[in-house]
Amino acid sequence: MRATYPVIFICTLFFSHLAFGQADSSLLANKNIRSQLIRELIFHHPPTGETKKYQGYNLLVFVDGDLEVQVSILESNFSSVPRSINQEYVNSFKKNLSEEDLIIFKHCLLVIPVLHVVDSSFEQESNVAEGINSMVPKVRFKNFGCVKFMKPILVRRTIRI
Amino acid sequence: MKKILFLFTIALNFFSAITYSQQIVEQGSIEELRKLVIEELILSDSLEEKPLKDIQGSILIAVSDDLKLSVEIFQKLESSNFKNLPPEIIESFTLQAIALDLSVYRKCVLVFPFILRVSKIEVFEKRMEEVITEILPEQRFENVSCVEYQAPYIGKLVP
Repeated sequence: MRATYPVIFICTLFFSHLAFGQADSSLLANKNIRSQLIRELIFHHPPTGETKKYQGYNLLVFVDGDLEVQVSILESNFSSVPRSINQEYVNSFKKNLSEEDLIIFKHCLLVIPVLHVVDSSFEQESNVAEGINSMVPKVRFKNFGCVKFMKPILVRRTIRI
Repeated sequence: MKKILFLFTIALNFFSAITYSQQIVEQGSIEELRKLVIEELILSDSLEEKPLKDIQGSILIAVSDDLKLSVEIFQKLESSNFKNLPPEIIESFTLQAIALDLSVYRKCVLVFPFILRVSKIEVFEKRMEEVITEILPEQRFENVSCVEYQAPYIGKLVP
């Protein structure tokens, strides 16, 4: 019991800018999920179509009642039918997450806007406006008990030829 | 309610495009509403203040069952995340908007992201990460029957 005090103290220091215990855990879970999203899902799924400097899409992550996870990609430029992701990627995404990471998103659809930026050795036409536009999910989410729009993620790639 | 959740789970489990798209469907669209949001809310407010920096944020409009509107503007400020628009601006917007047929947006929350760029494009591109997190802020919607993000308005202001 005594040993837990320093731990609690350190946590309090770390989170002293936050007022509620609830916020602490969701903040950590968010951070953990974001890094796993980038490493296990976004990295393996560049946007389809021709390579442009800025290109966006949305990751849709649904966490069901048994904490099972389904993921798909919504590319607003093509159609409103999401492109599904191979379950193998989803499994490795889940592998590094704890139950606590997912439990706050139970029954929730997470929408994660992603902006891919390509730095190329070729001179590229800048399509900033088009890129930002493609990152916004232009569909209607209907009758979901919970839809959470997460902070957008920006990923950079370098292409050298 | 339980039954509905169960159905969602089934639909998402199978992940077939057809069942899934019953929950994620095409947007409604009213060009006039978009025009009003841009002219009456986004531009009228910022043009008065003559911004020196880029402004980005989102306008949130909730349409009730009886087609009444409530408007909020999300814009990152030092003090808080929600900016209060002057009541006369909201009133003028609402008066014109309720004259439109908004029935496609009944019980919907509409989000209009916007950017008003003052800086040079090179400067703007350097702070892209900040820009995108501020036009699409984190939001959690619970038990809303419809949420819809609209195409962002990206404008250039001449300083």
